[in-house]
Amino acid sequence: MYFFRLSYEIEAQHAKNARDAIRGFLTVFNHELRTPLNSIIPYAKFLLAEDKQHNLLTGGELNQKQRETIQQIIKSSDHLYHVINNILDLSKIEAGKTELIIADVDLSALLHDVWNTGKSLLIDKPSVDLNFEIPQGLHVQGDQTLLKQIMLNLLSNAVKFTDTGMITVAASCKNDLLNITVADTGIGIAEKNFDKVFDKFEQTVEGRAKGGTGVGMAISRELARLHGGDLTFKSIFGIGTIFTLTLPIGKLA
Amino acid sequence: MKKLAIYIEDDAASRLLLKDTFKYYLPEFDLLLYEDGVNYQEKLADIYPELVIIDIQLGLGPDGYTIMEWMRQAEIVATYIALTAETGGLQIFLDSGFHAVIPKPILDMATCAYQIKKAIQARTDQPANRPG
Repeated sequence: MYFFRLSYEIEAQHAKNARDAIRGFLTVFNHELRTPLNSIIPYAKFLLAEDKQHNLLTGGELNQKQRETIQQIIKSSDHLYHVINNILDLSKIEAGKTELIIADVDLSALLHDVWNTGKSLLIDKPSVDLNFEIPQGLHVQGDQTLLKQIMLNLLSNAVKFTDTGMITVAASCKNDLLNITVADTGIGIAEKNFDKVFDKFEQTVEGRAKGGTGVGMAISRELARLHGGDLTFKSIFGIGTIFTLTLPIGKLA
Repeated sequence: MKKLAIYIEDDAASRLLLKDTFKYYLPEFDLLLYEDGVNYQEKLADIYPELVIIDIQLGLGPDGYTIMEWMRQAEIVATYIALTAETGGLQIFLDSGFHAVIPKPILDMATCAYQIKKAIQARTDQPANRPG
């Protein structure tokens, strides 16, 4: 009897140590890795500032090569920033530290914001149209910030893999469930790669080529499941992909 | 006469970034920089800023919440902004008495300056709703 109690206490201590280690990791990761970006990204952007006042910093106009070099610094730093954020998000989810702040969310308004972001993401893709079929008055119980994060992930993913055609965001209700779909006419996903879509840090060749972090969809599905919902997809290689976010309409516990 | 702002931050690179942000985008302010709340408190009696920006996770001495409490107790009427890498809910900071939160890392100086101006404007538009 004493042995079993001792064994239980040791296991409990190990679990506590593991939780403390994760908490420590998150704090250090968050503070020490993100803080240096505090200098790199804004100063690089500052060097590209157009007006004369800021050109004083560089002693005049930048030449084409200088501009391209700074743009590359910004692009790489932005990628690093997203990787760090994704690792933090995933670590939090896996440590059970993601706390949902549940409230009534005006999903129509939220999706309108997402649409505005989507338009800016498509500036460099004039051959892609963005179509929103969202009725007014859609409400759901959930965490506004996290729901927006899911939708931005889905939309930026669609933009990333679509070079011509259409991205359509639509919503419909069925059996107390709200389905929000993001459909694209992008490159699609080969069936042999279906298992990789929600795997953490697994990437297809196409995903790597497009500069993805390989974790966005995994995070989105975990966040959907924290809401009592799910994230699924259908895809035909060469034709396009539809992601469906399903959320319960009823109040979350 | 310029308005006075202070920024309490233990990270040197972040202090430099805010210094430049104020220099180029918020020239109507004089910005004083402090590494921690201990050094700031020594000057407390002499300084009455209109804008206070505080890092929450400071290396030495009290944290950002405590410093804000000191300043409120000293009846310093200002716009209080938390500048933090902490990823907790925004509401936690607002409930503590900050008027706004700006997340780190700052990705763009112009955007940061806009967020600061917006926080000042929001507070001055609704003086009755928020103490200090």
